[in-house]
Amino acid sequence: MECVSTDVNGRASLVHSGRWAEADEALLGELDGASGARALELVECPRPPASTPAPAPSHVVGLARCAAARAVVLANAGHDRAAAVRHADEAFALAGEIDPDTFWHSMLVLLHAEELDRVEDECRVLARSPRHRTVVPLLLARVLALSGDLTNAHGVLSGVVERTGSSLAVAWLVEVMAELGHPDRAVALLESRGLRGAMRGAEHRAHLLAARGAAGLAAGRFRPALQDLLDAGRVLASLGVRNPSVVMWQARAALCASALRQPDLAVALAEEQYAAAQRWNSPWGRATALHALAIARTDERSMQRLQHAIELVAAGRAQGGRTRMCYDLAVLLRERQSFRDAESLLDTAMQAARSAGNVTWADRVARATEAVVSARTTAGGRLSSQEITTARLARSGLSNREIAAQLCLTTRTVEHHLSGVYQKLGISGRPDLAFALGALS
Amino acid sequence: MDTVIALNPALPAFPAMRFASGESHATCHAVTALALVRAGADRPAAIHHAESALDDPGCAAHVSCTWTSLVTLLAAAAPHALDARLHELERSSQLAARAGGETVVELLRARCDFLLGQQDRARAVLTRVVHDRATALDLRCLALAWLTHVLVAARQHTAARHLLETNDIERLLARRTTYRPLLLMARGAVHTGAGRFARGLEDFQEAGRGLTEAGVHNPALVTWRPPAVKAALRLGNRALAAELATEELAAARRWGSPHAVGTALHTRSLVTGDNAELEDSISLMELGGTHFLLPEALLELGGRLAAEGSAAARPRLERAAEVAALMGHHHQVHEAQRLLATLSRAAEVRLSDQETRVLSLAQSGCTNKQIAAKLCLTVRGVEFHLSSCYRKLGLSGRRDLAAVRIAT
Repeated sequence: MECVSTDVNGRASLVHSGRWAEADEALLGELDGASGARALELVECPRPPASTPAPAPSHVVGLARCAAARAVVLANAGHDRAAAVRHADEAFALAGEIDPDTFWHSMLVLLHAEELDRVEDECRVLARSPRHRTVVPLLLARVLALSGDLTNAHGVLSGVVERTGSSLAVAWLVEVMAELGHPDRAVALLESRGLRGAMRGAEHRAHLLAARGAAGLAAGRFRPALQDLLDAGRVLASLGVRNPSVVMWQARAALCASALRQPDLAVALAEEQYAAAQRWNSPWGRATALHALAIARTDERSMQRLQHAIELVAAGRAQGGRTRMCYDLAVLLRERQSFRDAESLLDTAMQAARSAGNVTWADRVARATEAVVSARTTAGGRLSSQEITTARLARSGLSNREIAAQLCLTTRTVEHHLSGVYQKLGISGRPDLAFALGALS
Repeated sequence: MDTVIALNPALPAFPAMRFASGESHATCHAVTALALVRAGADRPAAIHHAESALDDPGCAAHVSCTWTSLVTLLAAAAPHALDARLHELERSSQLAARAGGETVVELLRARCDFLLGQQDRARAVLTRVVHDRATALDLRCLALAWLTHVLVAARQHTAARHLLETNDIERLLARRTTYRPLLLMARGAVHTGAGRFARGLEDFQEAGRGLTEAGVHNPALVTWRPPAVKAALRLGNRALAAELATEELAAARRWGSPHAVGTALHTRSLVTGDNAELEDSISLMELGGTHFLLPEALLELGGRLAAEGSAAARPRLERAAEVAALMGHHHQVHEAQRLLATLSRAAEVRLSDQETRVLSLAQSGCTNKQIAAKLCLTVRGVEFHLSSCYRKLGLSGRRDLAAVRIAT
């Protein structure tokens, strides 16, 4: 287990004393001088799944790896997407086709920069290359996942997991399963591989934690999900990865915090992702940030933010979370009695859910559509203020008896209000309240 | 002495500072940022204007604009952005030619160092500025106030008092400078550190009044209420403590920086005894990146949980010890260890995340230097964790490690 970094002590203490810019500069300086072959070992990036041992790298490969390493550093810092892409392109041009390590790292950076078409094209060209055998499927699967083609992503990732056991593939597969609406299977997958609890010492721990957090969010287990996501964040911060497009955790954590009625934390997380997304300036990163912000800060700008988020996603290739964005905006519109607009958005949400293959969300959207139609056609479809109050308390985890105590009602009245709420929102019970109530503060 | 409190119109608006004459813009991004940061609302816009000002060659030529922008980033709790700017300025010679230019950067870097636990470095720089008679008075007042805080945080109360006396604090306060509120906070901190809570509270409240009169409504610029709350609690004045804590939280939320909100939640939890608020404050402080108050909050929560006999106390106290050690806050490390010792020992020894990581690498044969490289720690940090492991496991050294099996 030989370690190559020359001045790690120096860099680590710079990071701890808040001299991040200096640490990054030092790292880039090291890359300049480093023997190119080992350049990639200096930077923080998931390693490709076990590849066939490469022959001793040539000078050109050394240069390519330096460029790729530089791209990784820039992507992790998250300030300058154009520069990161430039270095990734440079690396690829020099040795992407002959050196799988260069290929892997430069493609990863391009993924973070949302150049999905580009990554797909290069992967297809090298699909038959025996050297790139282990990295191409994994990269392609990630493109599929980010593009919203979840079913195929699932297939390819399962294959990679089986063949290589890569924990990065596991993490990405868990995320896909969560978005497909099978969060419990996702967690079972982790446990079957011995990945449980704090997962200390696991390779790609931050990715795994963030993925498990995504599964928890999808399953409505907000508290453990929040814990996982915050832990992921802490690991990433200590590794100098500040770009949410590398590992998405703040937006999801914000959604969990919102559901847990921790508005201060939700706002802080959403604002942080938003500021970072602005700096990195990739459409999907900004869209997820806007979505989280709209939910965390339920104010008069929520609608505008959600609309903007949906526009950004519609224009690009990365589609993750689109169903949910449309759904949440539809809920907002329903609250404002704009029933027809709500219906049309739910239609979009349904299309997104279907094309992603997400059965759970398709179901939710269908029932929400029924509820909106009924609200539009009958006055009785709207929630009364008592029903809203009761529903919010139920959402925050209080039992019927506790709600009754708080509102000075009988338990039976509370039950009555709640069943009215369920019927009008088109849901079957308490677990769905968090989604159905959506952006209601 | 003139006892009429009159706002001196000739003074620049806090936290602006007057540099060489002719050194100001009528209106620019920095002026906008200043207005926003004083008002304490719309933090993202304030950051945007501050960054724009720093990028604008017209503004960058004026030290006052640079100062305002950097202070905005500090108050906005944007540590990465601030560090990047300071780094840029430290590298360039642009400001060196301007009066006060270098000092401005040095002071802010020292303040960042302090907030991130680099006490010695902060202290050295601040001491130098305080004693440099060639530096403008406002800058020296600021350095004096910040240096006092460094000393108080290190529990060097005598030195802090001595510092203020040597620098004629009473006369400085009588002069109604722009930075008077900060000087009052410094004197108040010395009072409370010495147990004179009533006088400390008076100073904090006077600082607060001065700020409000000067049109400053941002708790992140001068955080006066939290120390006032603590003093009020020590005096048994719960009503005042509750009022101030609630005000602080509202103001902090309006501004929205995780650090300000986290501090306000922590402060209020001292009044309400609410553990949920304390948990939230800890999450926010962890997020914010400036961990200065984190050990205090973790110790408070850990202490409460330990008193309840809850197992959740242990990870809190361990994290408190970890962060406090990184900052060199030895008294907090000892307090955490004391509380940990009071927890009943379970049959299974619990190691923290970091300890487990370090231990397993050590078991597989890595040297301390290699472990430091792998985990992005300093060698000293690795040694700290390892000795903690040895202590918990009752081992005498590395050779004994092979016998230990870690359950993940």
